[in-house]
Amino acid sequence: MAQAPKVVVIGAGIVGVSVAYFLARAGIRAVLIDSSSPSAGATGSSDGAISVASKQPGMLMAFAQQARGLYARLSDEGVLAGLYQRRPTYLIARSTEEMALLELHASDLRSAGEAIEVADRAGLVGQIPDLGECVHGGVIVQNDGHALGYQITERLLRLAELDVLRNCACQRLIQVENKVTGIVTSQGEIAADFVVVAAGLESGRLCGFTKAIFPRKGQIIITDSARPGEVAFNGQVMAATYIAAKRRGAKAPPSPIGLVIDPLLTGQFLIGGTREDNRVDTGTDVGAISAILREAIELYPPLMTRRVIRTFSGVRSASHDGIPIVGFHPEVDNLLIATGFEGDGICLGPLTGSIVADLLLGRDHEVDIAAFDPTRLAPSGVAA
Amino acid sequence: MPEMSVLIVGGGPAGISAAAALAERGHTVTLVEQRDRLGGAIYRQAAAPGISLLSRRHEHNWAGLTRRLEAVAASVRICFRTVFIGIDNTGQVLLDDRATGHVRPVRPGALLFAVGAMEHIEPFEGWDLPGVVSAGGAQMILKETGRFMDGRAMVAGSGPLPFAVAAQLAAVNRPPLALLEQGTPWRNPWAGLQLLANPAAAFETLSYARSLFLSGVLYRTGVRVLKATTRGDRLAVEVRVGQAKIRDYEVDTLVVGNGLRPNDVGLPRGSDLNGFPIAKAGDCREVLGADAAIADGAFAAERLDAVLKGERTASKEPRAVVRARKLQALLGTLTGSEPASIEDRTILCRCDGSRKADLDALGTGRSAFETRLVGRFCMGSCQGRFCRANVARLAGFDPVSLEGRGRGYPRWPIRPVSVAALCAAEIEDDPFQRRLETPD
Repeated sequence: MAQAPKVVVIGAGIVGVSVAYFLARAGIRAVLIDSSSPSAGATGSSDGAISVASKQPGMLMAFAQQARGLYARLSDEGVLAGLYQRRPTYLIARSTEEMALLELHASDLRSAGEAIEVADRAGLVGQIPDLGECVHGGVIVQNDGHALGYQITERLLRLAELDVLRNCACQRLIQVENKVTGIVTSQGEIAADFVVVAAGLESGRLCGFTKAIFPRKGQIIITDSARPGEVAFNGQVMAATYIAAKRRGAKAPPSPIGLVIDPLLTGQFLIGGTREDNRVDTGTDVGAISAILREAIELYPPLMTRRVIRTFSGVRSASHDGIPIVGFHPEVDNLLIATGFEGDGICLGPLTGSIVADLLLGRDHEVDIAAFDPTRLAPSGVAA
Repeated sequence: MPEMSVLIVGGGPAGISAAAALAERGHTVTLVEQRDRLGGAIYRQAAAPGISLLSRRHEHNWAGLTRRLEAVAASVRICFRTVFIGIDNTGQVLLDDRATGHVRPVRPGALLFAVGAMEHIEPFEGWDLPGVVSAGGAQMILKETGRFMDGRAMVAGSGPLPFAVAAQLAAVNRPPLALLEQGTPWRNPWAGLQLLANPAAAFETLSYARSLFLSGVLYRTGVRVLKATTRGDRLAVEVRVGQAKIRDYEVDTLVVGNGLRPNDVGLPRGSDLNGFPIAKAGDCREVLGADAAIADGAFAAERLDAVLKGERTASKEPRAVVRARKLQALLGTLTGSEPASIEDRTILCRCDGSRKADLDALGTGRSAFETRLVGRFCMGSCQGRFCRANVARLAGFDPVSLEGRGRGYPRWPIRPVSVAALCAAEIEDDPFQRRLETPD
């Protein structure tokens, strides 16, 4: 290409920003727009799990390993210095049935090459004193990590010196003979050689995959800290029900709560979360928050002494087959899509960004994402 | 869920007055008060016998309120140590009952907020140090204990509150070293004369002035605190007199205040949400002081009564409210001053220790949402009560935009609430709970 192609990225969440960041590294300055502001969607309302432990066995688990590897590499290179912490994930079983599920999951993790320790109650208490009476045993996944979505997004925007067109909603794509040539936004038209749609739920409407993506709301709690900066334990605690939900993939989760207790570096706890399908409303309700907390204190009773200072919700963009949607649009040329990460966007976002940038530039990349190909979905009409 | 006709939040003059007025009109009222006695900040009684900081007028008004409330005691249920913590997604009003340790979701037929004022402090370097207390905080200590911290105190700031606190310190034989007023009241002789034409205000002002004079308190105007630092066990306070002169004081306690604002953090906007009427009365609607709050509470009750009975609500604002507004405007003219410029190192947000420089580092073009999310302003335990106004002024936002977003209502909890109380929440007929009981 004699001249750098003009690229528009729709959505300044972690996925869209990662795409723009890796394009910038390749010398292409994309126009980045967002209907609100950076991290205003799911990116800004998520937990900090950069976790392989929680992934569906198979291709997704392998992809998460590479995504986590990219975090480690970017952290070592200085790009994400100070924002990514290596730390274990503790999968917790409350019964022998749950333990059986975790042991099955542990064997899948082990076959994927993960460093795993199956622990009985005493083994877990050695790592996290004061675990609740209900804790039966668990699995420690040693090499997981932690990062906060809005911090990663902010860092990548700064490093690439990227501006975001805020409050700029994409209304539709402009096509000429099955090729995208630009977009119509609330602030006017923007011409483009390539368009990347990383707009979460909106991506479905824009690309004609409305039936492929659905909202899955999550309610989350933030506590105060006992002593500022004093982290209670060194990893994220996940209940086996969370794993059960993930292993079921696309099927409706068995419990509306996937319990995660995430000790933040500030000394606060992030506690999540609900999985409420087809709800896009913001806000939280006392019934859900109370239910999450009751499960949380059963697992970790010292939470009883904390105060809740904030509750919030986010809406995940879930795909019906539980697999992200990443790649070229099957019918419209020069149109790329990256969505459907459900609750895994923070973990998978940067790697996805680098892959989408490679796809756009016609470069080879090492990661196999054939399963993410949007071709598997039948488009119901591009918003044009 | 208990039968609850009107829920009133706040047991100060406006709340009590409204409760009595509504009960007199036949309504069942639940009055929740965060502390274990009624009275609010103004009528908070001194625990030490023999010391009362209340003027005779206030004592008289307080006695009147108490009598009115006693007369309708059968229709007013009072819940002490109960705090309003917000409205949830499903429209339930959440009360944190700290007496029993339960969060109680309720659905009242009407909701009236009478939660008073909150303090405004213009930050300067060191305002967050131990030894620096707010004027309202100092008044609370005085009124509840009749005593004050040992050692040498100094009062600084703007508006009538520092003036009153200095006089009250003198009244308990702890006259401050100095009262440093930011404004220059003597430059507005006309406003001063008008103030003297208001008998109650004139009497209060003159009696404070007398007590300050008799105790030999140094009163200086046009003085700003620039910086406080620790020096040994004490605070070194650097002030600027007029435009140039710098002076240095050494004190144990520095009392600061720059006036009061409506305590509306986290209160729902609008007058009808989710089908039930919502109203505000007293200082949380407009800071006009206790006398006006009594009238405003009754006025709000009258309008709420009309809404509940489906009648027209055309009544005029009480004269006490109009008078108080004029008085406040006068006091504003007398003691007002431009907000100080804020140094880079000055802490804006005490909860997270964020400084003015951190706000600047966010750069231009940021939304209020990003200022919260990325900048971490207004995200601490105080929910922005201390930093919101200053961050909003510096960044050019409407203060309300710095509140967390919920669905139609500000995000709950608007005050920290214990995990234990939320676990023990008395939840009935909740859609999420039903789903928990019948998983697929």
